[in-house]
Amino acid sequence: MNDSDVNSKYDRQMRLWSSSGQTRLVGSRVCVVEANAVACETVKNLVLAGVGQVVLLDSERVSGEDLATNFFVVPEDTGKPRGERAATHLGELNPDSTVLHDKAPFESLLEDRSFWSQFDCVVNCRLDPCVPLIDLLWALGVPLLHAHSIGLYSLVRLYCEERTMVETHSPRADDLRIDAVWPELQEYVDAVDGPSLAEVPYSVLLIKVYQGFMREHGSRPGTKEARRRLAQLGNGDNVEEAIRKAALVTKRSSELSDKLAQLMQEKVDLATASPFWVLVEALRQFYEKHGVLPLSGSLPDMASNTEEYLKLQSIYRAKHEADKEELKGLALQVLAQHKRAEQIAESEIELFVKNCSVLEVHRGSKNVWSSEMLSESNPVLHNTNIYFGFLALNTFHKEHRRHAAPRDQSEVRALAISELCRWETLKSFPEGLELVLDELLRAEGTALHNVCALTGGIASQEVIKILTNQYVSFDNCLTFDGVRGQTGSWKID
Amino acid sequence: MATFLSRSGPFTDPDYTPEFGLESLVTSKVLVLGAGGLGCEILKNLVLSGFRHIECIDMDTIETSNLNRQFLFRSSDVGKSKAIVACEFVTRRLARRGLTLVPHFCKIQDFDDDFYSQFSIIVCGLDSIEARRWMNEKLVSLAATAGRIIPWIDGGTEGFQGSVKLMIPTITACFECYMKLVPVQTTYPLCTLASTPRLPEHCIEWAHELEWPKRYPDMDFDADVPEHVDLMYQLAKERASQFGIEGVTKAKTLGVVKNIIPAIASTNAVVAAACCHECFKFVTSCADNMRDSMYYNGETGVVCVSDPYDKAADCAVCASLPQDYVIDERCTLGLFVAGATQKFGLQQPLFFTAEGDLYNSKKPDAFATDIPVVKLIPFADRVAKVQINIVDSSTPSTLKLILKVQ
Repeated sequence: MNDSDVNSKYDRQMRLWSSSGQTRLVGSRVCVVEANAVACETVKNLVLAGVGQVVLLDSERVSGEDLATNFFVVPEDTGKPRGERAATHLGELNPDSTVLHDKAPFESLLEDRSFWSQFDCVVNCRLDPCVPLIDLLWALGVPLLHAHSIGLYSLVRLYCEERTMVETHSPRADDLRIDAVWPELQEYVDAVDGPSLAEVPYSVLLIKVYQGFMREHGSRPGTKEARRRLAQLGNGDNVEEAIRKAALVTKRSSELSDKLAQLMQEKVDLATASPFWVLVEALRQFYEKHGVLPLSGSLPDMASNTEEYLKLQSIYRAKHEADKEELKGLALQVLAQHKRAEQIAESEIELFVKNCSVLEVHRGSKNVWSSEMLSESNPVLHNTNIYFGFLALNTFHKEHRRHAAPRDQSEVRALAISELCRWETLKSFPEGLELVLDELLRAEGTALHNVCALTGGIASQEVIKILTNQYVSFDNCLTFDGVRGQTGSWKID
Repeated sequence: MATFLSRSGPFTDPDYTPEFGLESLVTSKVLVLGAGGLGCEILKNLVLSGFRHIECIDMDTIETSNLNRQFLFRSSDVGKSKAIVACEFVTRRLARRGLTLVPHFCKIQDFDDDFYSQFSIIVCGLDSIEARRWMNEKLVSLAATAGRIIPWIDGGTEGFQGSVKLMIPTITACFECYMKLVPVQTTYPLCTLASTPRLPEHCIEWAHELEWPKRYPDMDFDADVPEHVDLMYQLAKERASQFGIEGVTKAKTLGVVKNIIPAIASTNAVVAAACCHECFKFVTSCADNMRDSMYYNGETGVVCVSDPYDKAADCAVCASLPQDYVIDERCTLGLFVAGATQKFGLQQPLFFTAEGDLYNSKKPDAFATDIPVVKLIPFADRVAKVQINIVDSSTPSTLKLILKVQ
């Protein structure tokens, strides 16, 4: 897999996650539990993207309901093993992917650690979130998605102890260091004067104005003052750009986002922590020493002549390399202090430094449910109602071995209330829950293909984020409301 | 689907009956525009939603780079018509009684009003803005002039992002009303390309815009010819090495000259499903439709929201539809002008038709105002055969009138 392979069938997606992401997909193995429409739509998108291997775990036989909602079974498959038939049709989508099936009953595998530990990610498409499966995969460190759909509604939930994300693809603020120049940059800035002012990128003009004001007043200039001074430097394109970007003189390079400051405070056991946390510790030490983060090294495009731009670019790149070496040294020290023999790959350090201002960490939860969800202040109350409705239907299904129908309305409502009271004392039925329950009962456990396809789209996208370890996952629960045509997402602690 | 439609839910119209829901699926004719990334999903979704009569238009043939998401195609199909292969595949897979899928391997512009008028609803998965604007004008004018209102649902994607618009011509915002939300394409100043390149993109655009026509005056660049792409890449690379700029690759060259937009299966699945779900609800009345438009973003977390969207007051398509204006048989030009000026609150209007000026209030003496209007423009069956346009400082858009004789 190579970024310059323009004739590749993966060209349009590698423009998002590049060859490194694609290589990880090719080497991945995913298990999907149940071969219903949500499952098969999820697998379809994974296979098209080139995920190396998918195992469908299913012990049902193809029914009329499957034919009505699932594109990956045909009338001739009726009565035959569903996992096998679906795996065959899904496998035809991409010769690079292998779609296998396993007929073992799901319940028989719930204590089989070796079966589950072979996967990089598991997607459970049954109605039941299945607490034993959640516990087992949590212990194994295998990320688990639960995805299911009934009628107009669906849910997707991620169970994963910790997600540390470096390549978040989040928009980064330009790291121009107007207020924190280093000797090589200072030398360059000092050499620019007179006519050459018209040739250089705007960041150099901003540094000059910033430093001039600092010398005279001992404090930072405001945006307005900076604009006034910039306007006196002429009327080239670079001056115009500088005036537009003048607010950058007020930006403190030393300022950390709340998220990052919090991340650096996290207590982790460095004797066993992953390379990510070792690098975070190195980052903390670097910041403590220098008061700024390591330089990302990338410059935005700025109007200027080619030579001056490239000169400035090489100064920023050299500083980036130096900062990276220093961070690497600190990381190696951390490893040595904890008597750890391993190395951290050069490419990993490079990515970390490039993205160190936009790192993301999610800490998950094993709880299927948390009591704060139905409080009046919840902005996505309607969506949590849907989630809660699925839980009530699951309880009904476990008790009766059949799906709840409209005639079961009073029993399902009673179930919902007793379920809710296990978590908190209820003053009243949450607003809107009755309507959601009625809408769910209407479908009597059946699915609508479009809602399944949409849910499979979201689930596969989240699996791909986990496998490539790129972009930022949802955190950690969402439901789709097919009446309003929107999702609501919230975190279960 | 059958179980679901056999009952009403709390969000169903009170007049809903299961018979209506099922019957509408069987009798509706749906037109699908595009058989690409969205189109393949849309065809599958509509058939599994229970629609029986579907036609599909696509002018394109299958390419290798389609295969990561256009799941109805295989490598052996490269070069064949998307519409034909897609319809054949779905028919084979979902052969059921009464299912008719009709492919059209041509442009949407090849069809006339009669063709479009036969459909109950249109689901659109085109990637070209221009084609969608054309379709929009066609549907708005069918609604305005023939009273044939055909709702349509438009899907679009770019990388992890997508959108869905539910449009009912002349009633809700039209595609043109949304145009102000479409981001303008990045362009680079000519002087940057010509003399101060800094990025690999500058070198590629220089080769594309400036150098190719000079170097190969007799050869139009075609991004689908590999030799052309190679030559373009060489030009860009030479330019870059001359200036010491790094990062010109063949993939980047192709991305810039073809304006390639990243595309993934998962986003297509989400957006196409949302389109078809709205189509299913609209036709069967089994539940309320979403508000006018939905926005999806899966890049950071998952965001999927739907919001109302108002018609644009200055929309060039639907804000200035021709309206009927009734006059008396003996009504003179002067009386007509005075009446229209008063009715529409005009300041200094210019009245004109495709044939020329009818009246200009800045040059009142140049027009004979005492002649009856019916003598000035052609009529047939008491309806004017030409439209009268009025421009005036009081309104940004052109006012359009169709005169009718009482």
